[in-house]
Amino acid sequence: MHFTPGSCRSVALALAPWLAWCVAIRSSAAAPSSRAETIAEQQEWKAEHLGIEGPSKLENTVVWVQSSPLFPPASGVYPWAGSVYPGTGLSLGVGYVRRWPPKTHLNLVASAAVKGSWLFKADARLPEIASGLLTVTLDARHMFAKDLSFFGLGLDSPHSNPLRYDYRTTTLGLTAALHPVPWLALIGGYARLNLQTKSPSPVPPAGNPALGDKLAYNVVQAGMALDWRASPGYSTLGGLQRLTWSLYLETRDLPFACHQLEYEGIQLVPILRAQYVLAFHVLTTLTTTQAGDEVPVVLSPTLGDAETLRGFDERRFTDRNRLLLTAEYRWRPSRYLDMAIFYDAGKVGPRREDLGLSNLETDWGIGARIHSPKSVLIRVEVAKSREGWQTIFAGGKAF
Amino acid sequence: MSASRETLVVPFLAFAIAGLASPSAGTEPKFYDDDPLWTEPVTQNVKSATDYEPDIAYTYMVNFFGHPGEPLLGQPAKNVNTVDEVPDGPFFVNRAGRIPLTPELVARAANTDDGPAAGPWAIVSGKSSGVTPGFSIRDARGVKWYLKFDPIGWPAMATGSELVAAKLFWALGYHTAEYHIIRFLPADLVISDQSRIRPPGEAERPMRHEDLEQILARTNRYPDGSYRAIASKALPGTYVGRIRYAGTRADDPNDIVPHEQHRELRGYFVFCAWLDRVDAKREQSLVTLVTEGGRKFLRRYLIDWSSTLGSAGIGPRAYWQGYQQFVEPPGVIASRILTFGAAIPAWRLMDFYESPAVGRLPRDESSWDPDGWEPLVSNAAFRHALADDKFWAAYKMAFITEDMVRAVVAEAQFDDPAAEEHLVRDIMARRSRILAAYLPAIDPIVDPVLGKDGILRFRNAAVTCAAALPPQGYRAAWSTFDNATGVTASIGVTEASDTAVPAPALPAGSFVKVELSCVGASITSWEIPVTLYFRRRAGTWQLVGLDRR
Repeated sequence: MHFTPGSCRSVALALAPWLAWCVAIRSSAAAPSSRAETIAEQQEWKAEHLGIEGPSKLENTVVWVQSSPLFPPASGVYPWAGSVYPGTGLSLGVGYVRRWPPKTHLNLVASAAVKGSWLFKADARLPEIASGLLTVTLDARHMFAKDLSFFGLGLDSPHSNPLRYDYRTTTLGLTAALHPVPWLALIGGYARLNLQTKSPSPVPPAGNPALGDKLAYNVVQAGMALDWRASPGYSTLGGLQRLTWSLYLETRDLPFACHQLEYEGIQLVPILRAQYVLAFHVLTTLTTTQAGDEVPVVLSPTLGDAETLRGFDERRFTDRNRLLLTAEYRWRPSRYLDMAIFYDAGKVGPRREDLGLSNLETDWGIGARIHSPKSVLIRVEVAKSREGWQTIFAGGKAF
Repeated sequence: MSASRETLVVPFLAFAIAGLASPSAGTEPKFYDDDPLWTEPVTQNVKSATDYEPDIAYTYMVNFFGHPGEPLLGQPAKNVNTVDEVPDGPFFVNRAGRIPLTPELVARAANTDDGPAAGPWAIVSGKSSGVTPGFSIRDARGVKWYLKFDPIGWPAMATGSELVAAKLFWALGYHTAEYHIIRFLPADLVISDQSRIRPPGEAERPMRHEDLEQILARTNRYPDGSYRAIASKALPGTYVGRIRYAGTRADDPNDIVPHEQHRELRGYFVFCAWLDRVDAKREQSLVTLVTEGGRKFLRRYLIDWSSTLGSAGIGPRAYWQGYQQFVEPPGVIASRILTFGAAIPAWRLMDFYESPAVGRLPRDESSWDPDGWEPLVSNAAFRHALADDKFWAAYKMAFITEDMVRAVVAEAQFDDPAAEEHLVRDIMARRSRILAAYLPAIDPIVDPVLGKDGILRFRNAAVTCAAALPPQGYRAAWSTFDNATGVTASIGVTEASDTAVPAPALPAGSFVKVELSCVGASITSWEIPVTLYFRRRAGTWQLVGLDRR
């Protein structure tokens, strides 16, 4: 038998009442004459030393955390951590959420990053209409992202000496989603978008569309999604087919209007009751302009981040059109931990015809995802590309 | 505390335990006149008991990442009487193996009437805890009942499984509620003015008709518009919390043995494994303050059986349930990470039987290992369960026959003969596996009787239940026993090839001690004797002591 300091302390604590009772009994007068009397003496002793049945301090703490605004249905102020904008590093802030059960909420966040970026945002989900048939959300955001990188347009853009710029944007939008059946969503939305980019040094307009300009847009969006996954945030089976069309109208008729058509397909193939999951992802974005118009850098599709080409720098590749193909082999060591080996391939190009399957940029990697039954909470990945290794800490699913 | 101080603590503890573990050591008899005690004394009135509802997340957390209760494993159960049995009391009442059970009695179990009285049922509250939809009603007699339902597409699964499990656990000896399968039409219900509900994420408020519609919309509806439910009668007394599985209840003066050292709570593991009661945490129990015979005391009930057998309450049992806990051990997770998924848990490859009536059950239990069974979250009593605790449970289970199981399954009204047959076969197959695993694990001598004819008769539980082959014989080492001093003197050794061993000439005296072991058994643990103590009283020998250690 091995006694550790911890076990000795625990044994001593556990035995303390027993020893105290024994001492008390030994010092008392008459010895019991029956088993029942022996037990009765112990019960009598305990009756004189009763405590209060209730939660421990640790249990009270757990209850307090659960009843905090971090979890529904509580409302109030809560700490916020995340990223203001991809590539700006960790931001910390404070949030306030007001919830009206079952699903209505107003959420306000103010956050700042060490590197100087900041964010104010508000989002609200209005009460459901017709038992969830129609949902409406409002979103407002005012953001400043500091010291972002632009590597240039095209797949051949050099990795070295990217242009540095700051990005300031204000958005006010409304989105409505109609769910005639749970797996089908018809989505429409409108947003007012003001954006401004600023570079510390003069930027030549050629090859850097609208970098350094101030633009304002009316954005109209329409789309349809067929989603038969168990949950959008995490699933081991099912799939998604999504088509979204977005129109960006520059309000002052500057030559930066465009529209984008984006298709996304996801298919999850569980094997052996989801011991393994093969996951496939296709993402294509096509941007079109009127003759003479250009697509601003900050509205152009990009590759290179925690959700696209994971082995490259943030927004490493930018152009009007993009194609991303991803395959993952996922295995599930725990009900709450998935591992994945992944392979990403993609490219960008100025024309749709450029999006063939040749000359794809590729990377591979391995990752771990801690998740709840419905969403990925933490994702840690390392990815390798021809330009080196990337480490990813993210708070949501890859796709 | 420094290491050097620890070295002082250990001998002190050893001294303290040796000297004080029994307050009467060396001065009082090993057996009192009232041994063996078959009823647990409840001598103190509970003056006030706090209604304490433990937090579920905390329950999970503390059991996954901590080890509540006595840290030193391997200690025998401490609430047993001198013949190694659990006395009747607030936790347990001996039924299987103690009273003659019949299929009819087991099917009736705790029921005292025919269920909610006919007439309009007044809904008094919506169910605000747990995941299965339900509400409580007051029938025409004013009796309160809790109603729970089957999920859509699985008629009879949750309610039937709940009824089967509750009645079998009653037969095994636990305090349970009264359960009935009922059918009703929405027109039978009225919402009382006092009815309250706390919808998810909302504050408590008066219950409305829409709430009732929402509850019923989540449940299985029959073509004639009726609903099936399981009605459980409100338990007597005042609710004051849930059963602890570690330590004692601070405000209960009669609760003096830490619960992890209760045999019936340790043996509960075996019964849960039998019926796949994966949700066996504190919240599946109730403690009520009752008054009986002028005494106010706390009684412990087991409740909420919908995650049992093929049911997970809101759907069929998940494939993994019963084979792993909610969170796997770190070592298992690490090995699965490092093998890139090559280590495949058995349940992912198993064949399951599925039926809307009974849910999802393994198709073949012939290789099922009860020691490999896992609840959603374990507890201190389960962790402390020893071979003799599991033996005790398995022997109780041996008294539950197939006829009894069939009677209970019939009572559940699954309305699917093929599914019922599979369910019965599954329950009996798991019973066989449990008997085979736990009865032979220790010297399985039970029910010893020393007759006036000088023959010691007993049974070998493992052999009787066809869980093992009989040994070549049995050996009994006889001694006199001085109850006051514990001094023994050998009388002789006798042997027999069957379970009737002759005693040598027994000298005058009140006590005799017998160390009874198997001879020529294929299982080595059977050679460790069971120690029996008999007391001569009015010319007959009474068993007063049985020690399997």
